[in-house]
Amino acid sequence: MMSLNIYGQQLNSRLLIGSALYPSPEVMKNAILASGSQVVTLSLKRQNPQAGAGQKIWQYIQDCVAQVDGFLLPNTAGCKSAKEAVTLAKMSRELFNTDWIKLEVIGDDYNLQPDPVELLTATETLLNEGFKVLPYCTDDLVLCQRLYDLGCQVIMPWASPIGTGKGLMNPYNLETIRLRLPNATLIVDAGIGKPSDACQAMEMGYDGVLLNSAIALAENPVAMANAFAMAISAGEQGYMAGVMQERQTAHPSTPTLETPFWHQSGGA
Amino acid sequence: MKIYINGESIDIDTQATITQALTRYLTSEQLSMSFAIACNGDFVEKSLYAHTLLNENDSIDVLFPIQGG
Repeated sequence: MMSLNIYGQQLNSRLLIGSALYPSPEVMKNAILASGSQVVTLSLKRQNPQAGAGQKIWQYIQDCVAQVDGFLLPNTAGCKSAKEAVTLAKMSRELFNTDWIKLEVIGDDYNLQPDPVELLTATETLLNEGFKVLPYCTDDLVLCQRLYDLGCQVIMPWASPIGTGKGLMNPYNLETIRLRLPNATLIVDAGIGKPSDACQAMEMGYDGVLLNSAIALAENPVAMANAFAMAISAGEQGYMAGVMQERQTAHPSTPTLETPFWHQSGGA
Repeated sequence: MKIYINGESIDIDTQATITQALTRYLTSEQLSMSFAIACNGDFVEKSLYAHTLLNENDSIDVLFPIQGG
């Protein structure tokens, strides 16, 4: 497999994996390792003085990332304005010692749809402050173009709303974005439900897939992580091999010359 | 004077710094953990905690790493 390019950092795996929603920290760790991913997403939240569980999770995530020689990708989940997202990004950069940021600015609570206006504002500010922005956005071509024009080398349109598992709602939009932004690193982020969804995105020529719920909420997250790794590899290899052109009519696969019994009377 | 940390009201001395407020609010275990700070919605670098004086009704967010998607 070729490597995934995140702002010049070459990665062996094209799967980026979330660290939330697993039944236990042990399952999370084993699923991350089974996925082969080298990029693990995480977040920052308030924690009251009585709570202590967060530190254990943080320790597990650090162990996983060290074990795969990987990278942390903090997100700005929960932010609803550019100002909030910029502040959280700066806090993440200090705490996690990385200038990578998965930029989320939510505009609608019902389907967690990104706010394109606030997203562009936050992106511009963060790029100017030296961040390497990985924006989570809708599958809108013009929005993706604007993000690319601002300087985003990586763009992450959704497949469908976060956590729905509905797969690629609008393949046409995603294909068009791939076609029109051939030099961007494009990662489908959110909404993936099945390994075949991830495979479909990779067959379109996407550079990677970021997901969480589809693995964490599977009956067997570790087995599902392995399934996604194989599906993404299969999709990538299929794309690289060149998919045949779809045709409108049937064409026999078996040669028709010297067909026995052909045109004999009453033949079916 | 009254300030807020993670939405909770606490009383601290006037002219208190962020470091002093954190010592009042966080457990010793939490103080040893990784966290980052915003004051009134703006990021504050760790190196400035000891020098940043708080004002009445200031609102501090203390954020810790958690799992995320």
